[in-house]
Amino acid sequence: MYSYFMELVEKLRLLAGGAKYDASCATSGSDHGPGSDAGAEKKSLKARSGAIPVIGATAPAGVCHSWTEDGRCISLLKVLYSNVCRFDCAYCVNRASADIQRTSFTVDELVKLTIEFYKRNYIEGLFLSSGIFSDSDIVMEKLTEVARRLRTEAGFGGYIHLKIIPGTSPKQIAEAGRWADRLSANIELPTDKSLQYLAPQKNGKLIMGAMEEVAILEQEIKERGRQRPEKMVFAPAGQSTQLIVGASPEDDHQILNLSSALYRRYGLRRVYYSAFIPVGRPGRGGILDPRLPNIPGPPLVREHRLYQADWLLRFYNFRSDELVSPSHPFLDPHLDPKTAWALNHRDLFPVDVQRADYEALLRVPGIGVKSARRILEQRRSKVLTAELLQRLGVTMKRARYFISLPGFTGETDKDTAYIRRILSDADGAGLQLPLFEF
Amino acid sequence: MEKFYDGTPEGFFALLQEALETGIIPERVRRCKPETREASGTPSLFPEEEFGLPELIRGPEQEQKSLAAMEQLRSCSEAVFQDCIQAWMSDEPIETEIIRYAVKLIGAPSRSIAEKYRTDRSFKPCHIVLEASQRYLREQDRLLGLLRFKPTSEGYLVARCEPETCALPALALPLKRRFGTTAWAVQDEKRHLVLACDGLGEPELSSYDPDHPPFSPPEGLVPDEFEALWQEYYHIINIESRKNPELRKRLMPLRYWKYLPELQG
Repeated sequence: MYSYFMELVEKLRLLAGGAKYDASCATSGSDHGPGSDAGAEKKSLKARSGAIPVIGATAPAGVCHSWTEDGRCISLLKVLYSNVCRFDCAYCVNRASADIQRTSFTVDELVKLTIEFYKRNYIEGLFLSSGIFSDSDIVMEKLTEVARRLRTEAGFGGYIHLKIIPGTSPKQIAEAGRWADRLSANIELPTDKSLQYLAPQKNGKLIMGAMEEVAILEQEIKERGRQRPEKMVFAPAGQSTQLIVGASPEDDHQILNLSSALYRRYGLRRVYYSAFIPVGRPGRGGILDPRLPNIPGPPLVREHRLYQADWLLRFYNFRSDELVSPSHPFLDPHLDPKTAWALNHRDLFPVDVQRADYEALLRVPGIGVKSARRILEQRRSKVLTAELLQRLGVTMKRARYFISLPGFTGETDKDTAYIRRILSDADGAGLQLPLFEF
Repeated sequence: MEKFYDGTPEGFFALLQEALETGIIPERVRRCKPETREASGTPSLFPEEEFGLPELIRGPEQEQKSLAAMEQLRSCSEAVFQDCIQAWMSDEPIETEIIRYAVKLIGAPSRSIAEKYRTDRSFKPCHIVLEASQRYLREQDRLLGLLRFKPTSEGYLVARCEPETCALPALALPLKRRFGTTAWAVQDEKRHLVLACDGLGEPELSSYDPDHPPFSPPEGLVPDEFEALWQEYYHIINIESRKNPELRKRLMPLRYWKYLPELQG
């Protein structure tokens, strides 16, 4: 049942409830706003809106404004423009055949809500997606209109993330990127086969096509920007995507290979992994569907391990085939992927931290990017000690099995089974602890 | 040797300058009580301890010495100055360590060597200063997300807080960027400080009488429609099957909850 005339609070309830399963929450990677010291970025926003923004700026590192009871960071007002959808994807609570109340925001309502939430410091900006209530370009045009009016009429300089509706034309994508900081097209499922099975109206090629279009436009703008920097305007925070984990039978090997390829081919800033939440149960929305796996709850540990592995791909120079392979297609649920890799390569350890190069240091469990850099800096003039390593941020309870240094015996002689037992589940994966420095 | 100062940054930097001039580093540094502080004319940023009226550097001498110390720190690098001021504003009783750290860096034979000393964590005071500075920045980051502003009858957006560190000065630039031409203020109810900006000029930090806060308590105003919407939004986006209150508490410690409307009731 559709209702246009509905209280704003009721609309918010429906349209935020329908958007909450999208994992994206980051606001980093874009920097502009009133009084911004990032001159070029400020110019780029001016080129978009024709005016210096009167309220709102983006923080280079992103800001969390609250955390939900499930421990997820809230930094954006994450809502659907409309939950009317003609697609019938099995895993989605908004699927066409679901018996839910349907509604849409007006552009005015969304502009007002974003500005008022922003003023009160509840959010960093807006994340806007939508059900596909009409032709893709028409839906995308509505989302773009919200972003355009926020920029031009409300003078909003905060963060805007727009979802690209599958099938949107290149022209409309270019227009969306003019006003938004980030664009994203969700792949949702890792293979075309699964997409055909669970979301038959979606088309993997169209989704990839949208990503490619964004990558091409980014490149074009970069080229053009070299000649006329003031016109350099297109989604400065790049693009991201999301994969649902556990709704289809693909293993971690397939998922990580795909992520790797996406980072390489389309220069994605992030791939988000969203543990599949079984739908069709009381309080969860959606419909029980025999095509979906019958699992008791979302595979949160698997999701966490994938995020850790993804981190290793992006910042630790790991390749996906070093972490998973056709013979070992799943990440170890009990160990973080770096420790699991180290235990499978005991011959490469212990690493002499006084002499090892940066790449080798990065591979030691317990040494992160920051601590590896600090080690390089300190050892130019100092003999490293266990106490100093701790001060440099090394997690010694993990590193002690994998490093050697003068005067420190550590526990490198322990056998693999012993170390595995000690370090298993020691990183609190069930708690979804921070990803850094593992 | 024990030294006292009036709790102001100027007072602290004057002590640093004295250590640089005499080559004597105090074994202990303490902040003194309000009566003495008032004489300097600058509000203290800290809750004071009671221990009489010791000898202090104050007035023009304080100003002169503190400027000289700050200049010397900046001549090492802006980062060195920032490390010291942030460590001092962390509100931890680590003045002696900051002085040791600063004396070593200022005494370095060259700027490049000073830069090496800056991050030499094998030198304990350096480790203590950098850790305190990091804690200070962490509190700043948290506040930037967790401050909650309410519109007041004066046309300002006002937030109240009780930060662990003296974080208000560090909020000036990011909040000015955020709010642009909108007037705003942040009240530190623990230290009775207010950082305010009328949207046109620069943000200004001042102290206030706790019995007469400069901005009306937002509770006295009509219920805020958007605050109610935010509370609704916060509850709706929770995913029940991912519930993890322990993690939330870890990421958003209880001490911030008092001022968060989404966690009331």
